[in-house]
Amino acid sequence: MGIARKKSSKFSKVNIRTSSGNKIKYRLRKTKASRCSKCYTKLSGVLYTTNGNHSRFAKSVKIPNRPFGGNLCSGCMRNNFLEVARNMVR
Amino acid sequence: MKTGDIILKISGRDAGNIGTITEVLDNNYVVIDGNTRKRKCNIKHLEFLGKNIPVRKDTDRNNILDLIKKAGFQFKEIKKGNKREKKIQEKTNLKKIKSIVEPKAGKK
Repeated sequence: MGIARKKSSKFSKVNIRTSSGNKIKYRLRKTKASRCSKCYTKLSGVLYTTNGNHSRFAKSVKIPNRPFGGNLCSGCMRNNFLEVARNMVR
Repeated sequence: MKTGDIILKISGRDAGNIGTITEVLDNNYVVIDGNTRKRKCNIKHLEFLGKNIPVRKDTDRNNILDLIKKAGFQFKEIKKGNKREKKIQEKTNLKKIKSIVEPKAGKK
């Protein structure tokens, strides 16, 4: 059994060959880049770190400072507000 | 595109907020004010809502907001800098109290 702390899905098992036999090591999984929830393109300006340093940075550094920042790309956000404007005119 | 046209900002930090054109600078650029920040803005970042209000270059922000409401648009007003002002006041008060209680080192 491995260490209890390292059983979370954050870590992955890696087999390492040595002269005495195989050893199991745990390494941190790479985080994936966040994507737009409408068009599924990669979001630019969104921070993703591997070593769990996410809490060190300020909120304005992690996501773009606009409505739906970090969830929608700029084009989808613009289309969303265009629909709102056209409904207001009606 | 004229002064007084009611617009909705589509892009940037103020996206989704209503305002008016207070000054036309160029074929591409205007100055906007209202429920947004007062700033220079490209026309591509605005959507015109098809109504006009009597506004001048010098009109006050509160008057503009009233005129937009009378035109039939509803919105939540942005509160400007209330939290920051409170923090600054608290800091200044603390400094005053410390200076009274703890006199500077070196004085006898």
